[in-house]
Amino acid sequence: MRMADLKTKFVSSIVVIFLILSVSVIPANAQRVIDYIDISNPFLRKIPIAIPVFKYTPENSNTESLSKEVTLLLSQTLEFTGFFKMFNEKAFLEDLQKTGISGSAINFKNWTGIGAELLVTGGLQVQNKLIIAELRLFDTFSGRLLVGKKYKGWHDDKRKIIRRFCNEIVEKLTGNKGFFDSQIAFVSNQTGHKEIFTCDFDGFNVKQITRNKSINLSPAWSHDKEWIAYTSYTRNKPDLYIRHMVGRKRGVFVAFKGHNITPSWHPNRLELAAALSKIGNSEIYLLTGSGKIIKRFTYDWGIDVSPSWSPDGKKIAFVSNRSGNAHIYIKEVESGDIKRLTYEGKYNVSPSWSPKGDRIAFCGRDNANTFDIYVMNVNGSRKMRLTKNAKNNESPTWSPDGNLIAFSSTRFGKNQIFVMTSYGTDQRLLLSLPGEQFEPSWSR
Amino acid sequence: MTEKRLFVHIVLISMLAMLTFFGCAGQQPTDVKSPAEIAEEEAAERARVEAERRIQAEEESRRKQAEIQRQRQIEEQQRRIAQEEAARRERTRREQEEIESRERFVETDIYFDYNESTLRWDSQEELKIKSEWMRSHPDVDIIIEGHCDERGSSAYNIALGERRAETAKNFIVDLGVEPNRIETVSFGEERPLDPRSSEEAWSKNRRAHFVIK
Repeated sequence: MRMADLKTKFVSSIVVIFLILSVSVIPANAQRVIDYIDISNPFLRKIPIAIPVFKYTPENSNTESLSKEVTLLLSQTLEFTGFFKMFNEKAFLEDLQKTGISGSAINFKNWTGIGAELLVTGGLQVQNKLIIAELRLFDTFSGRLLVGKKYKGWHDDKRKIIRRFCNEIVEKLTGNKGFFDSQIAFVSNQTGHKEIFTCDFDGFNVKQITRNKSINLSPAWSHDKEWIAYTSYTRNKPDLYIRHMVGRKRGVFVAFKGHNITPSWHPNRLELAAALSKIGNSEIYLLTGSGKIIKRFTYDWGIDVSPSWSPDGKKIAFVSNRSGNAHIYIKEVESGDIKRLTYEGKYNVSPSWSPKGDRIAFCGRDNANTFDIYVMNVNGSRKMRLTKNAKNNESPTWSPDGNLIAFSSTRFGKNQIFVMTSYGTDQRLLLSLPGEQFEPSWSR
Repeated sequence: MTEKRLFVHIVLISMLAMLTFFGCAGQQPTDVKSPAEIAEEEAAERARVEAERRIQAEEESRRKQAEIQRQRQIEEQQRRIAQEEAARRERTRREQEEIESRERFVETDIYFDYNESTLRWDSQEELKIKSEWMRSHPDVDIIIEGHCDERGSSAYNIALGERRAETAKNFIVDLGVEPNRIETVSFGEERPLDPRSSEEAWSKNRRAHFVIK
C-alpha cells in the first residue's frame, strides 16, 4: 500500500514541490523498546551507538564526501539529545561500503565486540539531483532491526531527512517524539539593538525576525508554532507584539497603558497569558490571540509577571513579590487557588513548566549573588541545582520532549545561549554569534 | 581824580574864554556841547555799559543753567542705562536660574537600593525639590522613567522599573502636583547609564529619570 503510494508520488514529485517520503522497508518490531533509555533519567547511562560512514552509490569522491557529511550530521543530531555515547570511527571493524547495510550482511559480533549496543547503518544513493537514503537502527546484541526507513529528497533536503530519521530513533527508544523539527527563538543584540531571532534546535539556520532598531524581548511561541509574541519598545514603551511566523497574517499590538510583557501561549489554544500594568500594578491576564482581554488571573498589590502554563493548560506558574521578595507561585486556573513554591533565597524568577508536566525550571539567586538554573517538582519539592560556578545562568526553556533545557549564560564573558540535559549534564554552547544572546524560547 | 576834575575845569574855563573871544569876533561854533549834554551822554554811556554788563551776566547765568541742565541729562541717561543694565542682568540671572533649575530637574536622578522600589531619604529630598519646581511650572508635563541594574530577569526588571517610576510619581502627587501631568515608563535594565558590571555602575543604574515633555 505504502509502496504503491511511494511510486506514484515519486513520479509526480518531479513536477510538484518535492516532499520527503518515508517508508518502512521492513516492518520493525511494533513493541516499544524502553529498555534502552531509562526515561526517568535518560542521562544516567548513555547508550553506546555506532554510526559508521554510510554506504554510497555510485562510488565516486563526490558521493563519498556527501556520505561522510550526512553520517556526521546524523551523529551530531543524535548526540545533541544527550542520550548517546558516540564512537571514534577508527574503532570500527566493519566498513559498510564493503559489507552492505542489511541485517543479514552485518556481523553483529564486530559491533558488540567494540561495546556498541546500537548500530545505525545507512545507504546513500545519488541520482542526479535526488538523494535516496536508506537508514536502519539495529540492536547489536539481538541483531534486531528497530527502525528501518527510506527517504528521497533533493540534496538540500539532507538535513531534513536526517532529522526525520533521528525523530524516529528517539521515538522508538523513548516513546516520546523527538524534537528535531523544533526551533528556538531568542534575543540578540548583534546589530546594536536587541532584536528577535530564531534558529533550529541545534543552532543551525539563524534568522533575524524583527528589524525595528528598538528593544525587543521575551519571545514566546504559540503551540502550533505559527505565532510569536514578544515585548517591543517600538512605541517607546513596553508593548506586546503578536506576529505571524508562517504566513502573512496581520500582526497585533497589545498596548495598554503601562507595560505589556512576558507573553506565554496556552499549550493547546491560541490564547496567551501576559503581565499588564494597565491598572497601575503588574497583574497577569489571559488574552485572545488577537490581544483582547479574556480575564484577569492575579489580584495582588505586588509585582506579578512571567506566567508559564502547565502542559494540560490547567495551571500557570508565575513570579510574584507579594511576600516582599520575588518567588515562584502556582495558580489553578479553574479554582483560582494560589500556592507558593519557593521559599529559599530572595530571588526566584523565570519559571518554565516542563512539557512532561512534572518539573518546573527557574532561575534563582544564591547567597553569593550569582544566578543559576534550578528545577523542582510542581509542589516545590526535590529542588535540584543544574548550573554552578559558571557565572550567571538565566532564562531556562525546555525542549519539546522535556529532556533538554536551553538557557543563557555569561560563563564565557558575555551572555550566550547554552543547552544542557534536564539533569544539568552535557552543558554546551548552542550559538556562536557576535554580540550577546538572551532569553531563549524553545518551540513545541 | 582831582587832577582830572582840575583839568576838566581848566579846559572848561579856557573854552569859555575862547568862546567869548571868538564869539565876539565871528560866528559862534555850533558843535560845542553843553555840560548838561555831556552829563546826559555820560549817563547814557554808563547805562549802556551797565546794560551790556547785565546782558553778559544774564547770558552767563543762562549758559550755566544750560550746562547744569546738560549735566543733569547726562546723569539721568547714565542712571537709566545703569538701571536697564541692572534689569537686564537681573533678567538673565533669572533666566539662567530658570535654565539651571530646569537642567537640575532633568539631570538629577533619584536612586534606589538593589531590588527595591521604596524611596530612600535622599530620593525623598530630591523629589520634594522636583515637586516644588513642578508646582512653580504648572504648564510643564513630565515623564518619569524607571530603570534597573542589569542583574536578574529582564522581564522582572521591567515590572520593577515601573514600580520605581510609579513610587516616585505617587510621592510627587502627594506633594500637590496634579497626577495627569506625570506619565511613567519602565526601561527595565535596557538603558543603563553605566554599562559596566560593577557595584558602582549598578548603583548608578538603579534610578528614576525625569524627562520634560
